Amino acid sequence: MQAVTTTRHRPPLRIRGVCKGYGGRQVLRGVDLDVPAGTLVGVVGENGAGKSTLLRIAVGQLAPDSGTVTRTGAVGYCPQRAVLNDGFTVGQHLRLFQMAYRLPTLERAGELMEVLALTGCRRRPVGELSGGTQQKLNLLIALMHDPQVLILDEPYQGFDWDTHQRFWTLAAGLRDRGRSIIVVSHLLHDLRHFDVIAQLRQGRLHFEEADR
Amino acid sequence: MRLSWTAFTELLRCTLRGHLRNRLALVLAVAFIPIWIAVARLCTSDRVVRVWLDAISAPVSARASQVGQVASALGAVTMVAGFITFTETFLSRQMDRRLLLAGYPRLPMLLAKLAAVALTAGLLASYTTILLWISLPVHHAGPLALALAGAGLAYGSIGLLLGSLVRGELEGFFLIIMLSLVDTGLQNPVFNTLMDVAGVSALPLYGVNQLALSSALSPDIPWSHGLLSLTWSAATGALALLVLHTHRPSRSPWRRRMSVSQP
Repeated sequence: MQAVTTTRHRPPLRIRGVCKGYGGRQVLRGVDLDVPAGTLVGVVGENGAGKSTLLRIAVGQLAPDSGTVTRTGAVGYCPQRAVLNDGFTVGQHLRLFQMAYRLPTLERAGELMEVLALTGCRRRPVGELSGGTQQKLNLLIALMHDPQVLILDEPYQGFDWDTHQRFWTLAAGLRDRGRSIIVVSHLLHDLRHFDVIAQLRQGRLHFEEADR
Repeated sequence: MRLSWTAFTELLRCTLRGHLRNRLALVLAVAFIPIWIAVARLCTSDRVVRVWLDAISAPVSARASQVGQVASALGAVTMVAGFITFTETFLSRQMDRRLLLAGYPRLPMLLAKLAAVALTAGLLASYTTILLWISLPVHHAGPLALALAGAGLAYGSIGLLLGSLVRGELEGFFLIIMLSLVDTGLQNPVFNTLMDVAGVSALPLYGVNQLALSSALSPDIPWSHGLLSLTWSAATGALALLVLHTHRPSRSPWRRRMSVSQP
């Protein structure tokens, strides 16, 4: 399968011949994907098609049975289900990830809190937040270090419509600043936001240019 | 170095605050320990029993209720410490992996968790020693507190290990409760008067049980037996470190170019 686009330089995210099976079931059968800088790729497919598996391999959380993943620059990963600690406050999450990303300040996180309407939650324990607000923090953690590669697995689950729209404005802005972005989506009306749509069928990606 | 220290202190602070927000754990710590000691005091006979203690190589005569209270205190501390640590580790493990994937320093993370276990065990031991001191004529409160802290440390480390390993929350609770019940049951000289069950000295509570009973009920202090629980803590702590290491999500931090290649 050919990559999304051909560039002279190596794209920040390159996946080559990735295969993955669980037990006797082969989920990915030689997936190839390049995500050049300044590209927003949508990965779509039926439930259980292997979208989350592909993203977890892309981010380095899961090892492929075979194939290669090459990432250049910092990576931001937003898992499908919010991975947070209910006992910690929002501020504690930010502080811990500030250390993980080696960030000198939380300035960017503060800006994102404004965009995602999370301000005022800093001192609240995550366990007391609504599902949608937890998902906002889940996304914010993926974005707060302004990574070159963004891998987002249905990042807007539980968002209200305004925040959903703000997310797409934010994603478009990041794409325009040269970031490489993959978003898993199930929503038909989201497809217009993508530069390229990669449909995962029978373990392989089938590409189509988005009609924007 | 500075990052490692900050990473250690920040995670330790967050973990301890997380413990304080765990209301069930707080209720267990505050209420379960005195209730369990009171049950032993009220429900065990006042008849004087003569129990053999390996640690001082001599028999000790004391009321059965007094022996029972020390044994119950040990059992309560082990269960509460194991429960608190297991719950925290189990509930935070996905977040811990996300932090590691993002580049959080690995060793400070584990050391913060071990330090949280030690502080929890220390606090539980101090509280329980005060309760026993009120309820019993305790000979040596300091060594008794150390024995209780050793028990908390051993089971806290077991909780840390199980929290990283088991798939379900119920399995972890069941394992901690069963291990604690078997251990405290076999170590209790009122139930097991001869203390000659094969392998009893290999259980986590053997050393601290000997130290606790000797410190509370006799004028002797067998310090060396207290160290046995440290062996258990060190072994389970090292295993937890190994689990954290093998569950590492990625071989290199995100900010460097990375390639995964397999045939």
